Amino acid sequence: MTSAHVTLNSTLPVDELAHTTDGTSARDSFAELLAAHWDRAYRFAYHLTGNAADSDDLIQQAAEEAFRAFHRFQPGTRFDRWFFRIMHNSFVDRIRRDRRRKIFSLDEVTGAVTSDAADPSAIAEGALDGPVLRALHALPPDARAVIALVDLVGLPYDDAAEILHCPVGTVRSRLHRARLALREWLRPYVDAMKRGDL
Amino acid sequence: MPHLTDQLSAYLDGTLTPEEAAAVASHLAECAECRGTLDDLQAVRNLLRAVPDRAPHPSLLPRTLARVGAAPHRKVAPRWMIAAAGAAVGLALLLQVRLLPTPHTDRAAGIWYFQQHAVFAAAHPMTDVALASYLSSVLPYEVLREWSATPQNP
Amino acid sequence: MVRNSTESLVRVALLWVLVGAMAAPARAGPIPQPLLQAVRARAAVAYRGEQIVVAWEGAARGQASLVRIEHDPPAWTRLDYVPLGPSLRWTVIRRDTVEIRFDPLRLTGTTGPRASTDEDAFETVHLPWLLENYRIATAQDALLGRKVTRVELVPSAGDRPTHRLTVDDETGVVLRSERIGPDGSLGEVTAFLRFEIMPVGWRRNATMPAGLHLTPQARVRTASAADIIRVLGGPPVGVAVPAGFHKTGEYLTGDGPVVQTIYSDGLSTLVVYQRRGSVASPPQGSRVVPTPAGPIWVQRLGLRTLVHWSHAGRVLTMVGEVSRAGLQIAAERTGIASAPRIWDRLLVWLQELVRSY
Repeated sequence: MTSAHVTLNSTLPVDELAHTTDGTSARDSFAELLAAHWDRAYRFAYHLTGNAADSDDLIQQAAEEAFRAFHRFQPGTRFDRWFFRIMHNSFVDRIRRDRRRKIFSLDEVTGAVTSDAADPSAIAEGALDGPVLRALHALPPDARAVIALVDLVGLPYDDAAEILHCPVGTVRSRLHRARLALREWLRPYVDAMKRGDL
Repeated sequence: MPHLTDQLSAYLDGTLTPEEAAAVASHLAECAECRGTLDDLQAVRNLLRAVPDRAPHPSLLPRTLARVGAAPHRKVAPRWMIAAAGAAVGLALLLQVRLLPTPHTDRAAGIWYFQQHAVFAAAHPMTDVALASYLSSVLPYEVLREWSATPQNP
Repeated sequence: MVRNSTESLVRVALLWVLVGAMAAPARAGPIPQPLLQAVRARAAVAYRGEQIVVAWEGAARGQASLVRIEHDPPAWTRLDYVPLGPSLRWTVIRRDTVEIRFDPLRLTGTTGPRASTDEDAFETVHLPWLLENYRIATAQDALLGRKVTRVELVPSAGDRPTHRLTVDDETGVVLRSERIGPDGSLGEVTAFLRFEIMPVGWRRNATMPAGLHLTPQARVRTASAADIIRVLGGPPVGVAVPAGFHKTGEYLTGDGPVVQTIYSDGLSTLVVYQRRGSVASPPQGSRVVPTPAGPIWVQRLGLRTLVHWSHAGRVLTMVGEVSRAGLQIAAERTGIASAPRIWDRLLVWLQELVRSY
């Protein structure tokens, strides 16, 4: 099976669907908007949480919160920015709660990423996502979020800034530091990529 | 000139103004180390872009839409309701009505029941091999998608 | 391009299926050998081919799919579904005791234990019930260049589907099958478009595809009497079922809270879900039907009907290939709780409130 490459949109979809016409219930508008941005929203959720079960939970909870707050959403504005922000807030809350309950992930404790025997030849078969995703998950949540938004979902800096509720300059510096950290985790793959072996 | 830091990432992503980009370009012309870092950043970005898309399960969106707005608002109980609830509890104790442990209150989609039925029906030795799997795996998910589109089916 | 040729294939197949459906069967026989042969063939005959599967949801709407089949019993069955119309592709592979289902483009899916079908159970358990509940008629015919026997199973009760099978005389493989609702409308059709017998063991070296992301399915397990009492908080209530159905098992999915009781009339399956509760939370997609005793909720999907109601402190859901009238009668004979009183609703709301804090 060929691995699908993430295609980054250079132009983002226009939120024409955000207008509610007379007769369409709020529920229908919400459903249409959610469906239009669903795949990218899920991608964000997945890379934030690192696994399917938690991302399913995250996106469902965020959808429920978003619907409850839908009366505050301005039709015609960017639904994805608004919804992704809700997802990110939900994710941050969850982390705070987990920290209080002292839940550690095994990776944090054992540093599983470094034990990865980096075999660049394994990459060709589509096994690349394993090491890269593990490295991503080793990053602290802030860094993971900005990488997920910019490099994995393909959003521009100003969208990411709006979603993460910080200045664009912060997005830029966080992103840079996150990429440098990933460079360290993924050194053998970076070198192989630069040589043109991948 | 000191080495470039996050300007390199911005340069890579094309978010610098033309003046800033020109300044970075002229530094890169003279600085091998920063050129190396830029190459590294590009490699990292390509590695990330090469990660295949993880698609959500096809039933996730309909399930999510079905739950949206249907679950009781957990956190918004006005004070008078809590008072009334308190009175109800008192009354319950008075009447010695046993409060059952909470039943499973999630409203399952009708589709779940049909799908389970198809799974059990598939165990019958005369069920058609292809039909059994079709009804229990393919059909419910497609119908589920359609169900979520019509306003009558919450 | 491809779509046009498959669509015309579909039309041809459907036309030919309908022609077959209109032909009248000949005299009735005693124990139907073709049925026994068909059941045994599933475990004994290896083949490959392409089938078309159609399931109608209503008079005008249906879902259709082409299926490429590789069958090498007992260890390998692979079904590749190529839906006709805007649906996802789907592949099912049964290897030994495992069944996986996945999207072949995205490589995501589920894995779980394979439902084992007991061919011996058919003769000892299902066949006697089948003979009780269905009138059987057979006729000779030819299909795909092979000699076949057409078998028609008509229920004595007027509330469930008629089955028509076309069984290959030489091997016993079912080359075509149709199920027709009690109102005469076609519910489901499967038909081989291409069929080829293969030697047993022809897929001995078949492997599961690599790179799949599979999530394990919630397991369905047999429920013991103790399980049932624990999950329901007491013994299960007696449930009246339509005529001819006999209980075949009781199950839990994962850890409950729903007990699933399975019934069979020899051919058709009925499932009754039972859980604790006094206020029926109706399934999403059902609509309420008031009866003299109390409300029931009804939902239909093709040949299947779902009826949901509460009675004696339990919430019951009955699903089967039985008409709505048939299931409603069963619900009425079981007993239907009247519309929940304000008191019950308040209790349930209170429990939910307590649970969420």
